[in-house]
Amino acid sequence: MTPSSTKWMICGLLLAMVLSFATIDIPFTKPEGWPEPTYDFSKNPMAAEKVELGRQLFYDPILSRDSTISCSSCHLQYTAFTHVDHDLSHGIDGRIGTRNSPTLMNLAWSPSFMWDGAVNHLDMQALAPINHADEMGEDFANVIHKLQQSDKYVSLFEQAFDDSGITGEYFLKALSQFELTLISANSKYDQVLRKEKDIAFTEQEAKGYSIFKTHCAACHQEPLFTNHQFKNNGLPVDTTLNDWGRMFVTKNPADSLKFKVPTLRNLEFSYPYMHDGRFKRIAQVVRHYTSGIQSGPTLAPVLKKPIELNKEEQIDLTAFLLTLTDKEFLFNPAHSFPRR
Amino acid sequence: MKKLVLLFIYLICSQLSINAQNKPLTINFVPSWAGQPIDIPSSQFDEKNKDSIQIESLRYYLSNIQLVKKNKVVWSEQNSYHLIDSESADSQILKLAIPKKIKYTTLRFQLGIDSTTNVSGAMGGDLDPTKGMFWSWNTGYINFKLEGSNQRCPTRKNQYQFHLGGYAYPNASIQQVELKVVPSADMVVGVNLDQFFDQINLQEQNSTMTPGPETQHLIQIAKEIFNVK
Repeated sequence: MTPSSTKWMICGLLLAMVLSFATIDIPFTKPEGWPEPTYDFSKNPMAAEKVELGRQLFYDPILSRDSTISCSSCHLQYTAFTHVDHDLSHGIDGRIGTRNSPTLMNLAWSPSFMWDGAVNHLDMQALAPINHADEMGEDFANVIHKLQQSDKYVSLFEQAFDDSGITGEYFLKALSQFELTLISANSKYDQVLRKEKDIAFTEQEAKGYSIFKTHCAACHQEPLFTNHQFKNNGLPVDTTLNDWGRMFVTKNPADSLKFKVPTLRNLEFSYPYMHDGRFKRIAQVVRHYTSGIQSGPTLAPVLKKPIELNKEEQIDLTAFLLTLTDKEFLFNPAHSFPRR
Repeated sequence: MKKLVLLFIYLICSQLSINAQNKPLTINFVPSWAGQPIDIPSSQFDEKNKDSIQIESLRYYLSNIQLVKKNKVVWSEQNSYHLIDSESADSQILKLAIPKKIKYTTLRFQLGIDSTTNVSGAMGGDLDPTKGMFWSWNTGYINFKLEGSNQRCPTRKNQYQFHLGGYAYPNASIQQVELKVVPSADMVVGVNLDQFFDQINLQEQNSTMTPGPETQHLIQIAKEIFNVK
């Protein structure tokens, strides 16, 4: 080895030491008893600066064409990051979409995104609303261009990704990191299962839990309360929308009317329900499953036999579902609008 | 600490590769029409239909570049992903470094991006989604994009748009291209666009922007337009 190459090697080592201390690594913590996450953290290691950058981006309307719509316009923290009070979510210029915005929780475990699974990776999800004419109406390359003109973002990206500038890759990875921190695992249900001191289901909730396990858990699998599959849950087609769900992506008639099984966590606050927000109240949802199922060739097999629940059982089930509310998550200041 | 070790390994490897004595190999991808190189955007006369075809842009991904001899891979480029864009002369010239004593008879590459990369999240460089070669409504890279116009297209402004992509079964569209070559420091690969238009009917085929059988048919035509004189 020549003296000059040794010198370069020493410089390189010093540089590496500086870089390895530049960001604060924060490990992703998996709640006790949960499965391994699907998200590959080795490709996007968590760091506090990246999470903070992602949070700034999440709440910034600069992502939309006319700076009116941010991610949080349709994903509000207090409603488990969905669009409260609107059956169909609306975006730029008051345009109305065709679906109810999904909640954002426990995304590290989700193998696909959107109601029809059109997006295959959390990193890539944000591209859809940014580029959609009815949502943010922007062009992703232009978003990056706008951020490159902003002193605030030049500095935030530099802190998060060292000196490599603002790129689409970094934008998407930072946004993912913030979304990955949106973990809801501290509802009463979780506390009961962890056998925390002085926490127990009421008699009604316990009965409801047992009904849930018998009739609902096949699709709304614990602990995430979804099996991440696509199912036709027997909703009659809304002819004003003619939304065929998963078939839009796969072009396979066997996927007609199938939509992603949503998580039930925090459902007390995430109304309205279903892909098109057609039900405002939990009672309507329960009634759908007990007496509203419309049969069809792609109907989920578990729903072929009607679920029979009397009035009292329906109330018990609802009582259990309300134990999935996680106030700590809904009001966690680390997830809210960044005031500083 | 991990970064430190990786850097150490990288430095040692880069030292080794300098010592291994590489030589440059330049591959120039030249769009052509009837055997003549063309600059895109371009207007070309279509002999068969006696009209002109406007070519506005041509962009495609090449990946996993390999040199092959007797069906054995003798060299393959690491992290091999290239966006070739007719509007950027630099992007059409690939500068590779291959071992000096290597012998090969075939240049092999994939037209498009493999399925693993398609499901691996955000990527940088030529794979950055800001490059406009990524579908946001149905995740995946666009492998081959050809746009322009012709009076036979019954579309708005007579435009044709071929955005060919799709990675998942049964709509995978990535194609392998193999070209017989004579080893040389400078290779020229022609991209014969007249050959593409010869095999399609613009009146009927002019807008393909979703994965599916039509895309697969078109990209099989596209993979044949690469040739070495």
